[in-house]
Amino acid sequence: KVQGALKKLNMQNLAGIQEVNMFKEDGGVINFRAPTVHSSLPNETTAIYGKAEEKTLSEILPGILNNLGPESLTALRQMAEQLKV
Amino acid sequence: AEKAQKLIQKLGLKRVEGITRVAMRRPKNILLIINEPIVYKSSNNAYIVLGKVTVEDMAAQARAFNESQKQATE
Repeated sequence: KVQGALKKLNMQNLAGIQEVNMFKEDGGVINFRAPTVHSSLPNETTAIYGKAEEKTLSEILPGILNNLGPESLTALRQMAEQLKV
Repeated sequence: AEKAQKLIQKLGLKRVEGITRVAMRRPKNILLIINEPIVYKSSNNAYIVLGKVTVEDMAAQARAFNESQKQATE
């Protein structure tokens, strides 16, 4: 029903989305694995269809770090060191 | 965006409060980001997010950061 209504907005499939995270004020995260994502950029509207899981930031952080790759990790470490001062 | 908002209100979706940022991850560390989004949820696990989508290339940002670090130490 929702999908039908959103057809009016010319939503297009955004292919290749592996993961969606919604970050909350309280530090929680709503996490979707391999969701279907439709979007209409002119209408600034995005629809996410998939299984949502509520997680904490510390639960998903290792997964995010693993996906960053070595060069990003180095940069992150350097940034963290600068913040320590 | 106004058209979309009207349409969504008609659908009777529930507003999800307190979402500060939505990140959609694509391969090769490309992130599609929606900052300060307006999020609605339907009963059958569909989430509608209103807000401008921006692209963040994490790999490119890391490279740029490494470059600036190198230059700073030289």
